[in-house]
Amino acid sequence: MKYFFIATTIALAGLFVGGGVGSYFTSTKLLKQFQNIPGSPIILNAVYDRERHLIAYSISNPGTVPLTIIEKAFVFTPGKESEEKGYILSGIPANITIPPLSVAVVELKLKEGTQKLRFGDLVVATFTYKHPLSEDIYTLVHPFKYEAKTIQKEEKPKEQEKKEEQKREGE
Amino acid sequence: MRMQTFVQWSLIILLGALLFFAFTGILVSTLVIALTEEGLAFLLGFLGALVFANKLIFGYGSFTITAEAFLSNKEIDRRELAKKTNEPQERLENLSIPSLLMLWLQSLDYYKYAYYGIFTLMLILMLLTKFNLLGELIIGNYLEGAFWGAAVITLFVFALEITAKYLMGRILKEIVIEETEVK
Repeated sequence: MKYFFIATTIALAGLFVGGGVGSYFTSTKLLKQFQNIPGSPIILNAVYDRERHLIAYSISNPGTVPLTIIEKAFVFTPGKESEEKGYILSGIPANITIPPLSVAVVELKLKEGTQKLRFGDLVVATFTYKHPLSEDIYTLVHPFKYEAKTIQKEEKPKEQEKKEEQKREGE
Repeated sequence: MRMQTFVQWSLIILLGALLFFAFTGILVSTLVIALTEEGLAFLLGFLGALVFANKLIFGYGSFTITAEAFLSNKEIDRRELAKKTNEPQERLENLSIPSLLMLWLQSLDYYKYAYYGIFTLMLILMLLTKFNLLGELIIGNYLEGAFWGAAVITLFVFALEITAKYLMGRILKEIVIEETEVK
């Protein structure tokens, strides 16, 4: 009986040591693998800043490799309420690095001198980014429709805007 | 005995060469490329533990063989056994073989405590780095590798030790106590 007890103790200790050694090597290998996976950026939300006439995107980098946004472009499509014509702006240089596992705010300036956004306007933004592991260039396309939902908090400047527009038309 | 000293010296030479190359930076850079850093830490822990555990592994191993032979009523060279106890000859003159075996087992206790002490110290340091007190990311990962390397050796020491103790207990129970009862 005692012999059986000793043999079992040795076998159990062997199992623990073997499991520890194996899991140590596996986990370090796995961690290294994970550390080299570039994540694709996710746009958490986009907010239109009426005063500065730009759209601010908060872009999250879920991977463990820094991403660099090198170019911005967008297509503006007017809605029913807008009197502005559609236009395309492309090749806007940017040099924004999003560190691993964090969020950065990227601003997209609309064309100067154009009308403020109205409900129903559509801005399709294209961000070009790359990561240090390869020379390839990736794109991220985000449609942003200006709707009542997105500006519930900023309803006050509506009258001001009308005045501004009237002024501009007057000029 | 000759085998043990040979292994002991070759291990010391191996570890010395490894340390020499480590300080001159020849071996480490190639090993880091060939192995992973964790593999190198494991190897260093394994070798470092083996240098100190060698005496214990051979000691308990040959004790187990001798005790098994004694239990199956084979002849045992008394002089060889007396040498291994590290006691002066005058003390051993009137002693029986079971008491010589007991002295041999006791003479290994010093090495056992030193070895387990170092191993426990490694375990504590490894656990401290896991609490992120010493900076887990910098050194803790490699310390864990060295610990697991030493743990493999410790498993053998532990297994041989409890086997030797079990055999000693059997000798005491089956032979010594029975003999005294007969008398």
